[in-house]
Amino acid sequence: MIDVKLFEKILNDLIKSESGIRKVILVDRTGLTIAHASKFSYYPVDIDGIGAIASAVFVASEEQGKNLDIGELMLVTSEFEQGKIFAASCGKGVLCVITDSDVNIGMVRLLMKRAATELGKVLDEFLAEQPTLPAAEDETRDKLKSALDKLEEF
Amino acid sequence: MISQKWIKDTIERLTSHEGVKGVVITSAEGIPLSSTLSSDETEKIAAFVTSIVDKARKIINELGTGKLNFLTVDASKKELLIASEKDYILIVLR
Repeated sequence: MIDVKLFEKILNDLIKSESGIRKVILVDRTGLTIAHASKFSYYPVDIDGIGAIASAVFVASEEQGKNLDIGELMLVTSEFEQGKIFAASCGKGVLCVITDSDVNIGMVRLLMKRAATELGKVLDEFLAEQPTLPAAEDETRDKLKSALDKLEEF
Repeated sequence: MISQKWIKDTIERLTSHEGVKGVVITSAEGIPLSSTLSSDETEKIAAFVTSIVDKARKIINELGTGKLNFLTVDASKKELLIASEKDYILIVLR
């Protein structure tokens, strides 16, 4: 059983390792947020929305790469006047990092690559786990079966 | 402004010196511009050296001792000679 706090630990280690990093979000390829870590901010930010857009941008770029037959997409960088957004592949997920504009790009790339390898392994293991459903009691099962039979009669 | 010719000439001149194990030229943002080392090693050196230079610049600025020109990191196995300019950083491994 994977401890989901492991994701947060990796993201917290990443955010602490470079002063210019503001937020780190781990999303899956459909845009759902798996985990995130943020530095203190005065302004409320829609983490889920940012993660979903980062994932969509990444998947769109990935599709372009497939069409051009130029291999797997490693990293997408979006540069803004007052900040940068990096999105890197990590197994079945996308690691999104939001930074200040004057951040050490080389360092962010290096840290992201390391974190992405680690997260990729944990994420693949996490997604491979089968959900354990509680076993239905015999009585409940019989009731459901008879209800289904009645429905079929209609 | 640095040109491809300047980068090529500088690397050739530096590597011709005895004891030089590698030369890396990186942008002030830590993006490698040219190197004689493997891509993994170059990426690592560029990232960490840019981080040191950034911190050294801040210290020098706080102390009011002028502009950072040169930095040496002397380790037991290798020596890093770092020349810092406004737009780029020149790193020599010896």
